[in-house]
Amino acid sequence: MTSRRSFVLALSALVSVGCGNQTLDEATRTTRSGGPPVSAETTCAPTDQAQYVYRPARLQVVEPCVRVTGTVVASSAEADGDVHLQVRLDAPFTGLLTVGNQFEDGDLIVEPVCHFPPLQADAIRVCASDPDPLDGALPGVGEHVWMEGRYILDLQHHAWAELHPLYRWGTVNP
Amino acid sequence: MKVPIWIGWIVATTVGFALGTTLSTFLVGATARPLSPVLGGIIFVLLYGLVIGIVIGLAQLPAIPRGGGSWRAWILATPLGAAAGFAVASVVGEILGNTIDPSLNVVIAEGAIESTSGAIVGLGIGFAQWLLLRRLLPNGRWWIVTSVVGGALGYGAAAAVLEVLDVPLLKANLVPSFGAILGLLVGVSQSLVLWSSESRGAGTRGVRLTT
Repeated sequence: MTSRRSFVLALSALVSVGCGNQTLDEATRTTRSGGPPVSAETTCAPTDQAQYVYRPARLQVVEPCVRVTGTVVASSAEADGDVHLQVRLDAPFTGLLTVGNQFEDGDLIVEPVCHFPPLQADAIRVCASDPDPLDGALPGVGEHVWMEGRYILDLQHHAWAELHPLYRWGTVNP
Repeated sequence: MKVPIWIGWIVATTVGFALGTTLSTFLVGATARPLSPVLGGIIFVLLYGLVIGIVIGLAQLPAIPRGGGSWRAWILATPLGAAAGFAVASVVGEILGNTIDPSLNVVIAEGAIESTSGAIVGLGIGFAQWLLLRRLLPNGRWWIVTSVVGGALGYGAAAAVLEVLDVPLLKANLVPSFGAILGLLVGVSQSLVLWSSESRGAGTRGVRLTT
């Protein structure tokens, strides 16, 4: 377990370093996070959204912030107030995936938290205390996007890899 | 043919929960964010429960047994019970969630958390409504018990169905589906008391309100 974790950590560190250069240099972006447009010099910086994740112990944090690019292939609302996005990662980022992601068709899971008031009881108060969830529209199915979020393994769901929470996103211009 | 009052109750409660959760989710979610920092979000949760309770109370009005108290009292009691229930349930649910080992099977863990929280929501609503129904129903105390059981089963079932079963229609209509499943189980459970009273002919026939 320790060696696997170390491997994932090392791999993610390598990929995130590489991905920063690759995506920032190659793509011009439009931010959809409600903040200012992301410049080419922007580094991946966490927002305050991680503190509004309910039952935080179920998520094993690997990296506080990682940037990826990929195509959204599915989107659904969850009872915990999060939105569940499945993202087919671009080739340079597939190393972030774990065996568990096979349960999600080999896609990365990306979850903006507290997108609406949750129905699930253990998430209600935590999300109710979140004054500034990621606002604006989320990417639609088929959109090619860059995304920044906390890179975690979901211990409740086969330890699959996620960006959870999603901090910001934007479209990747071809 | 006259529809038995317990059937009307199940329909009204199911519709009330479905509409209530939907309206509250979108209305409170869109307008109450400025209240989020107050008391760690508890005011937000109280408002959330209040709106759900108002809609549940309104939906149940036509199905309340004759002599069930004034409609004003019903519209007041149900939201207050729901608000209190959701507020306490949200705190208890969070504590349970942070206590249970995250490596425990997700169905068991979520089932325990959601059922316990649902029981508390049921207790809030059931107790508030019992205050108005206790003089009408000879077995009125069971109203609280059935509300607790219905809330526990309903919350557990709703979470399980939407988490475990990948039914596209339900997933696409997540909020009303959750509310409808919860309301159905609460309604069925509570209706046992009405059915029992109706069988005894204990003044529950008819669908008139005292004004």
